[in-house]
Amino acid sequence: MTAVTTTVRATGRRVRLEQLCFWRHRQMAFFTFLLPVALLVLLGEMNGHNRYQGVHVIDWEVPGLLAFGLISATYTNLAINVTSLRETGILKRLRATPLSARTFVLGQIGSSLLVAGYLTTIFVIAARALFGVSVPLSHVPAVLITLLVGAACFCALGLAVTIPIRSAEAASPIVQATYIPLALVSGVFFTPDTGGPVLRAVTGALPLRPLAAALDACFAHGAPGGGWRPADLAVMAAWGAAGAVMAWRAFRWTPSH
Amino acid sequence: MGNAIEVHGMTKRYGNHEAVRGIDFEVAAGEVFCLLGPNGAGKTTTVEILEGFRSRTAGTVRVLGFDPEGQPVELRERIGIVLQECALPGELRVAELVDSYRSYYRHPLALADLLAAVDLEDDARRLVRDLSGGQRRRVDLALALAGDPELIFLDEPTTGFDPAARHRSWQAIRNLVALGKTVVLTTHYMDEAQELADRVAVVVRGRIAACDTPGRLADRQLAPVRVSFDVPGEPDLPLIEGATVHCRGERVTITTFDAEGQLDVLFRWAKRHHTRLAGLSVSPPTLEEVYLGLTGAEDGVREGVA
Repeated sequence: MTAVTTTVRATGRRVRLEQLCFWRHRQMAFFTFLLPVALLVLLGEMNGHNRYQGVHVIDWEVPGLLAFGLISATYTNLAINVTSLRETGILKRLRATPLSARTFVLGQIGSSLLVAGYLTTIFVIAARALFGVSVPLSHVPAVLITLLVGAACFCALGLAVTIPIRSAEAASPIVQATYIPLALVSGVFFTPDTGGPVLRAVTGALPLRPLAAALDACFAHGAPGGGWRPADLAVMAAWGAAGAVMAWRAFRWTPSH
Repeated sequence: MGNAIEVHGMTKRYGNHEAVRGIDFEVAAGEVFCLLGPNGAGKTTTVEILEGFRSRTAGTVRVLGFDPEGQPVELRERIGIVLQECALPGELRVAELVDSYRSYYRHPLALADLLAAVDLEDDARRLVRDLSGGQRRRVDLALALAGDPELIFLDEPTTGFDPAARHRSWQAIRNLVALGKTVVLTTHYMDEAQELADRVAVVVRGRIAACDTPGRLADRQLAPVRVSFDVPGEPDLPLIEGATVHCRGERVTITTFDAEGQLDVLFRWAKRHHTRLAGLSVSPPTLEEVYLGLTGAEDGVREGVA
């Protein structure tokens, strides 16, 4: 067996194991997986039929909540999970074995991407079935690449944000506090043009609004450029790269105390 | 066979506090070596340096020929570790968890053998979060054995256990010895060291105060033995030199460094007076007493050991 196939197999086993833990950990599964879907159904039923700037509100909400779900499956999921594995000593225990940091981290990322994949699929089906909202066929390449860049960016940031967190209990509140306010001001729960020019410039340079805006373009029928928003993808890629470098350099196996 | 571990002049300093103050020892392959001492003596710091989880301030350390600092993967392949804190993912079943650890090693032991070694065959399908503390600790031991290691570190493997759980864990550890593994064990229980170890290093305030077989350590007369029995009235008991007597009701306790000599004169006295030494018990020194004895003689003993 070559080194590559060994790593792939080992990573696959880690992904399977993480999936077992994730789905058996009901709170975790509920908040990362069911919450975004529930929000789509509730918000969609509540005000989806209203019109805003001539467009049905649901047409804004679907891409925004999909961004929220993607972040929930990647950023929130990874950050909370890796922090609590580290701070409870489970990672230290793993360090006693020959398992490499690379295999461990790839396994965590792989598991998050799988959750993100399931979530996106259910989301797209629900949006279509319940509200008749869908991505134009010509935008499919754009939406796939946007989801991929977004997922990669928020996986990297999720790993990076674990660095300063010093206890398992603090992981969840800190992680939520880093993005729920940002999600609100970035218009994730409503329209991507929320806020004044200054706020929009600031949030546009952060990774969340670009994800919401790029997904919004993917869902917009008749949008120019086949749904592509290269500038937003670039912002996410830059944040993702910075997050990946930080996460890799500061990765720790041992708890803070 | 050579030495599995060699430690020379090892120190560990945290700021102004010197947790390990220059220790030397060797562990032969196949030996069960115990670091015995009270909490805060430096036992865990010492084993965590050997495991590579902490760096040392000075000295040389060789574990299976490797410097453990930086935890080289070749070393991790050949050692098994049970940490002091038992941290396992509760959502996995016992067999799933043990099997996952097997996959991290090149030459793992069979799952069935691992579960048998720690007496958990009947619990293989249970979730880790539903196990008792003692059972989790045995799962932890199975994880440490997954890669068929030559050398196993056990940091306080039975602290907080009830007597039945301790004996099951001891049996599991004896199974390792039978397989020819080298074992490094820390404990603050004297009986655990006596039960399991070939050699015991008594660690006191960051130093090895004494290092020997359990039998010879007890023979060193670092602390007295207590001989107790019931005898009616207030008889004039024979005492050997240095022995002291203490009575509470009919219960007599004689404290002496020479238990055999004292028992000898007592038995002869009892025979002469046609009486029995009812409820006779001979208590070896407790860890606390040995510890106090060693602390008092620390500097002198240390020179004797070196």
